[in-house]
Amino acid sequence: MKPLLVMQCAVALVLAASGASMAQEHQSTPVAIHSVSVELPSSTATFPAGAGSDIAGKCLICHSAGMVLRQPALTQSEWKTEINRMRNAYGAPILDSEVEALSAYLTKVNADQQRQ
Amino acid sequence: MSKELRCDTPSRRRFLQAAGLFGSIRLLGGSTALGATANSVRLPFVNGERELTRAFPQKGEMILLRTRPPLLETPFDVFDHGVFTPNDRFFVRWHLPYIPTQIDAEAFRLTVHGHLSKPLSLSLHQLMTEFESVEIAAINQCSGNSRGFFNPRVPGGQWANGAMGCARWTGVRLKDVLDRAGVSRGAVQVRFNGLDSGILAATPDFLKSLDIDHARDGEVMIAYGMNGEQLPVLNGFPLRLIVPGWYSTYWVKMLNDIEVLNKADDNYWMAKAYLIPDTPHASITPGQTGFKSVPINRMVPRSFITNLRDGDRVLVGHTVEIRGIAFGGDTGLSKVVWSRDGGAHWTDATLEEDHGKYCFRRWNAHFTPTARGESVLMVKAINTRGVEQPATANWNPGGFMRNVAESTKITIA
Repeated sequence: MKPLLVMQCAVALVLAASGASMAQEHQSTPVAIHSVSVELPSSTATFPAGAGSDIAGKCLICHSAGMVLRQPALTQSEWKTEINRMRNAYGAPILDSEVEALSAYLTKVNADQQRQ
Repeated sequence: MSKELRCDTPSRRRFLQAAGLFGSIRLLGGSTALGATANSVRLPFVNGERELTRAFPQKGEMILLRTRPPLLETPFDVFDHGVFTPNDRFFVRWHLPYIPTQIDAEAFRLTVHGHLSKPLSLSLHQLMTEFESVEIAAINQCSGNSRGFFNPRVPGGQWANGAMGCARWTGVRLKDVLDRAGVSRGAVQVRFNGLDSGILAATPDFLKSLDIDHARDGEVMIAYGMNGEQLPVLNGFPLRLIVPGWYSTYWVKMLNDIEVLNKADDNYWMAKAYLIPDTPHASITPGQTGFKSVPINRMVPRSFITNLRDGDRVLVGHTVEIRGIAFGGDTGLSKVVWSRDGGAHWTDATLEEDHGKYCFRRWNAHFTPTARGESVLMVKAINTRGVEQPATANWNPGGFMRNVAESTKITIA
């Protein structure tokens, strides 16, 4: 693909009165801009089977399991805080009635992770 | 400092450094602290096992923290190779799950609107040809870089020290774009939005704002170039806001919308997220309540040893080179000091080439161990305002702004 644009930048900045002057530099780097088309990989991380793992499946609407599985040791109360943050701030469709079971599940999975 | 030197030295120095590495240290076997298998790495905290991945577009080997939306950490050995982090090793951090993967450079437009007299819709070509081009070397560091080292631990992205990088950013001054749009009297903040978005309707779009005076300071820029190339998609192609000296959360990726506000931004990502205690070092006691919170802002000094790691062994009577990177945060570096005795005594390190006050700067020192045993090497950066890295680690529930003076335990054999 040919570059859409090639910018041959002239020596640009004259020393100015602001503190910016010493940090911003003359440059001559030509930057070519091409349209892009890439593919992002699918996650291979999965929630372990167990009571509550079906509810945890809802987490995957917005994010893969990896970061959940890589958390430090958190108490069930701390997991509830995280779950409620996901519900209240980001709109995670987790029901009131599911919070107890999901937090119990995540607490167990998380405790297993700390031993690995 | 000539232009030519800036362009030529990094690759040459990289070679010399590589040669030096084999000449001086690691004679007795490498570190086990970070080693695991070829396809994984164990970061030095509990539950720190990480896959090393090459699965992401325009990226080389990265530490996988999360696949979707991607969180990719730079393996720390990359920082030993020079002050500029290669684009394909630069860390990646996205908040929202919808990230465009096909972007048409001709169709792309940056819109500028809000409390101003002349709304703009700029093509990349216009941006690159109708405004003066500038370049700055600046560090992009995640607010939560090093969160995994917090004690007690806190939830969030469990990064080691690799959620940072330094690049040469090429682009235009935000000030120049705002001036063309004719900011109206009474403007308070400028808000930035990118092409990413949530999937659920209730998920707040990722928006960040800067005060109007900051936005117009002539340093904040809109970059289309990163280390002389277009930005990788995962680092924000085609445009990224560059906020020198400030944490990465403000460096909005895939920037396509700039809105001038006549009141302070109260959107979720400014009012509720990325808040720090308004206390020295943004530090509180775990469990403490009742403190005032403010949006995270300026970076603080940090320094690292890049050629030695916990558990490395060196030989008594043989000169050891210690080297690394340091930065001043929101201003330049005054000096870097190092200690071989856990901070009891400090010695000035030699600072290498200065690529600008917002860039990593390499430092080096040498010592010849005279006695066998354990040695705790420490390093500390002091910036031009006299701000230095603290001896004890800060703590806050967000896991933000860690900058304690780092320690590396080695064995002299």
